[in-house]
Amino acid sequence: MRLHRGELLTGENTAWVIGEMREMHARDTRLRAGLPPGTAAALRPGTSGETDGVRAAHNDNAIVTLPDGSHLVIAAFLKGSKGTDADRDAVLARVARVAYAWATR
Amino acid sequence: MPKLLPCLLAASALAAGPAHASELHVSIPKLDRTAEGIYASVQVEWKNGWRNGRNYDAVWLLFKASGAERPWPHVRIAGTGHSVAAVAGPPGGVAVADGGVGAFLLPTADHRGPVKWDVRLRLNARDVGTDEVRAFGLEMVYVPEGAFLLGDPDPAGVDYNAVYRSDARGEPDGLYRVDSEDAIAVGPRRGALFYKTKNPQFEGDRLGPIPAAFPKGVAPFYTMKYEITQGEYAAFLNTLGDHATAHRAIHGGHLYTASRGTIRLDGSTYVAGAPARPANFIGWDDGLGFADWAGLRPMTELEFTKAARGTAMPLPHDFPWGTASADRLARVIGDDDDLVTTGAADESTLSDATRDVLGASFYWVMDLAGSVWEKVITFGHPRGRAFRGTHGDGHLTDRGNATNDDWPLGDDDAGGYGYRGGGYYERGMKPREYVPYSPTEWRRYGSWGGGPRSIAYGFRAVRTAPQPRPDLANELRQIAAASGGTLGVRVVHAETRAAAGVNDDDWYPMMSAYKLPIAIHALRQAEAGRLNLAKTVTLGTDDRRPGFSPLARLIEKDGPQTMTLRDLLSAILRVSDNTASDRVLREIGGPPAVAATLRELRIDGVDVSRSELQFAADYYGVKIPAPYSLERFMDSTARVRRPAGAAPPWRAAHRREHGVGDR
Repeated sequence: MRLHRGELLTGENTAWVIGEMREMHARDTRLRAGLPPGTAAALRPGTSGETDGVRAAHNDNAIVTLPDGSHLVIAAFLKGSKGTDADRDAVLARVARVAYAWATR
Repeated sequence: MPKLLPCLLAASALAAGPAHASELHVSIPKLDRTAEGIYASVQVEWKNGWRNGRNYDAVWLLFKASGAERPWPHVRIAGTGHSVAAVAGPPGGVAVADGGVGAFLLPTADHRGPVKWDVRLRLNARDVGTDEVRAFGLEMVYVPEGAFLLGDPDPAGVDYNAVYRSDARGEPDGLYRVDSEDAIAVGPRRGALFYKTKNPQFEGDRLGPIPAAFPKGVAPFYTMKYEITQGEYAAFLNTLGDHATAHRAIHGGHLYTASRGTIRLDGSTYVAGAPARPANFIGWDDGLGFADWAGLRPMTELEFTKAARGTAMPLPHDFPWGTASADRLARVIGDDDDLVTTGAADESTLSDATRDVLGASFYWVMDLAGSVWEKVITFGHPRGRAFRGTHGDGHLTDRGNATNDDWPLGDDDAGGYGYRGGGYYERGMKPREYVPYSPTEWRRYGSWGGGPRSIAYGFRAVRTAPQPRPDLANELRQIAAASGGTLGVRVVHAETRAAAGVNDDDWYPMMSAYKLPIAIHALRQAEAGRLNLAKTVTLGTDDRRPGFSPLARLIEKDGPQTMTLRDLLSAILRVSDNTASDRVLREIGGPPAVAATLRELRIDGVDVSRSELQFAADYYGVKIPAPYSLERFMDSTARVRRPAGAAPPWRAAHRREHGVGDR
């Protein structure tokens, strides 16, 4: 949020960081999967290992550009989750889907 | 009568408005260009508003960018960031339609009487650009969800092509109840909808089904309270390009001005001499053009009946005002050609007891019968049944035609539409069937997709009610409950700060999300001149780190890698490379330096306390081997089997973020 507003870095560096984050495609099955195809989103995922079928952290954060040019910041942290990676990804995709629908109505 | 914000025409419109009019006023928007977006402030005022246990009236507001070039482009309304302050009347709310093509302004508490609101709406900044904008308003009536009855209890209604529920032989077996938006079977079969015809071209082809996508009036919708007025139509023309006006201008015929028409061209501006008068001479494509331009759509025959009759039990040959008689009707086209209410009656006295005086429907929609004919999408023609109820997007073709592919657009004889409600032709005409009004369910012209612009033809547009704005917090709670763990979410609309979340005051392990503060710290160091991002560093075998790292694999394969710090930052941000992250962390003073920057920025909910390597060691409960190598480290972790149920080390202290999101 404060990164997006340019409170942390110069304009040039803010744009560079967000631009680099838009190239993050390691976890496109999470928040990005819940956004309409082609939506610009700067992403910052995070993932822990798994212990006895429980994953400590399965996260994703996004700065999404909406059709009207405004921005939606989503921070989603899933901790202590059981289930498969596909299940966990689907949880985060659902978060993005409802957040996008809420912001674009 | 509503005044469609002819800012250009406001003076003449006000001067000519008849005394009974409802007089919607929409001011010229004041634009406030802020860092968060472009806001339009408008004052919206109308008379005779209401909200009661049954329904309410509302204003549909839309914006156009009023640049030097015509057509004026449509301006969408943003999803969030709106407010309504009541100057007089009830508190108000905003329901933005899908895609932001317009918004309903609606009362949020019961009331009856005048309304005056200061409305502030956030517009789509890209649509506005550097232009000024104009706002256009239409008075609407909310028609709530619910089942209703089709058909006329008078057996003679069948001869006027009223529909009925069929028995096994195709004969009437009572009224047809529409109780869902599901497809409706049509035909001579028990329980199906059916009707008799003498001339299918006028009354319908008696075929079906009526598909599920065809709007049936069970789902809630808004309809214009009145037919399009001449002032509204002139204001519409004034926003169009030259080519479009040549097609959409309705006042070219010999008889236009002799037939209640008052629209004229004054210089290059369309002016309505009687702006509150219902617009006649509206052809089908004219009505569709207006509807698309306004972000609305035509109504269907079924919606006409719903708006007229509501949930009331029908009487034989009932009119939309709920009785079978016009004896008390005081709503007439008077000697001066205006639609007026005679005697002591006045729209402010409208109640359920005076509907038949004022010509108001069950939901207090005005003039559904009488005044000018309503044009409706018919279920009696394949092109009508292909209608899916899509809404206008504010944009027309160069010729001023609607662009929705499910609308039965074409020349006047395209089919797919028809006429309901009857119409007033000229003074001295004896009342007869359909003149000047018709019982609700008589539909002798219900499927007649023909007729040029003429004295008794008007138009009224509708819009399916927007789904209520999703309750995001509630939806997130539901997702969290089914997440298989603890889900913490914070969602913030950056420009308006509108926000919602779930479990958002808990602590969470950030994992690689902690690399963002590292990158920010590095860039701030560079901005302060304490770090040169162009500096090259060489990463060797011992720089390799556990976890995800394409760079470590590259070193393993091709030997030491030399790259700039900016390249390393790029690797962190684009692929979350652990080797790159630890090397940058070392270059910038380690975790304490990052922590100091976070403190300086007053970001107190994020903990960046360890390197990737130290974190991995803590996670597995091993010491970092000295001398370090990735292989020796992995060997040591392979011997560890963490006891089941033991608290993982990240619980004790690690990359946590507090109040996730807005930090």
